[in-house]
Amino acid sequence: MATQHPIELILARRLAESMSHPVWITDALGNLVFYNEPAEGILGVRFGEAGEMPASALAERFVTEDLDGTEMPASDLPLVIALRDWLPAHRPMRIRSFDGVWRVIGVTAIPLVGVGDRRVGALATFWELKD
Amino acid sequence: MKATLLGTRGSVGRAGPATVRYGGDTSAVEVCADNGTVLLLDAGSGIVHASPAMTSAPVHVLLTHLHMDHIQGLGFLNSLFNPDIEVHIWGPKSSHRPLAARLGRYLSPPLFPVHLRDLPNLILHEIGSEDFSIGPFSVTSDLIIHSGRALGYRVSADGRSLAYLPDHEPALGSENLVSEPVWTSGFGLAEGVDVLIHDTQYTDEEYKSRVGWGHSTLTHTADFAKMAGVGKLVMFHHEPDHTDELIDQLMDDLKGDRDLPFDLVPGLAGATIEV
Repeated sequence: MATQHPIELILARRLAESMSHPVWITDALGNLVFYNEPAEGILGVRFGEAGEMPASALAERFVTEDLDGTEMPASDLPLVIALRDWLPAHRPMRIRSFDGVWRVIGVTAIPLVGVGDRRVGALATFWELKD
Repeated sequence: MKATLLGTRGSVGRAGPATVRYGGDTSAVEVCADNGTVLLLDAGSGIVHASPAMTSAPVHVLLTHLHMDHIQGLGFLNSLFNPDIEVHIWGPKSSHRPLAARLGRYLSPPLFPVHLRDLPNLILHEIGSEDFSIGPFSVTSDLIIHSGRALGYRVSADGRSLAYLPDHEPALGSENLVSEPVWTSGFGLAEGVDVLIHDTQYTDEEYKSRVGWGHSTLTHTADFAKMAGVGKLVMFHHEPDHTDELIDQLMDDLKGDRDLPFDLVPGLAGATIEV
């Protein structure tokens, strides 16, 4: 039996499931543990099909660029910043999702830090940017 | 290991002819290891029924949270006023205020005549999600879903295990309580225990208007107990308005509706459960 997720992640997922905007949740190691139904439209695949995913696999499944098309290093991604610096981060970017389609999105990531500075993961919300 | 239910009522005491068997005192449980070492789980009004402390042996009280029905008996624990007895109180840590300050809101005038700081031999422990030992007991604490910050406990000794989650709403916002253990609050504490003492406060009908209040229905708890694979489920934290007759009926209805893979124990005041 797999280990139960920390309560902060469980509550984050409960919140995400009740939101109408896309939400993505990772654990403290950056592993994808959940994204909600609204996120499926942008990511191009249902969470039930994609499932949880180790951080190492995410780089292979997603390609990200700056808005001008230059390559964006992983260290600049809002979720990576949230997990590295334990601070909120935001930026617009281009993303090629599971379905191979390029989209322009805005991403805001916040770290999930529990009582006693327990660092359990991060939550990102994102949305498609129109012209 | 044995567990004695000193107080089983939730939210507020309700003594009277209609609650004689399930009891009117609020949450408190005494756990006794085979060597006689005792742990007290919560300090509701039921704690006044705790066994007298052995001379000079430390007393340990593990608080799940600081709602009144779980601390209102604390000031009536005789050991607190005996300078020869160390009293250890374990409770949830906060990011903002120390446990002493939070408990001191109740244990100080005008709500109580004695200041917490004047108690002679009190030692406080602020805990979150962690493992620790008290004599023969191995204890795991973890945060669980309840209104405010609350802990559940898993206590092991003598090769047996007990989980205590008196105020718990694992069903909050979940449509898949049964199918996703790793995403279920409290699962890590309750998995495979011999005895689970768990919140069964509401009827299914009552829950509809009390979602988010931090408590469970008997059917939620039965689902949780089945998922966790427990040996016995003890009904606990009874709704103040529930009479002995109604609680009996709820238990009978559940047994009639389902083939339960655990023993359902009624959670009677004063009952001792062999773990």
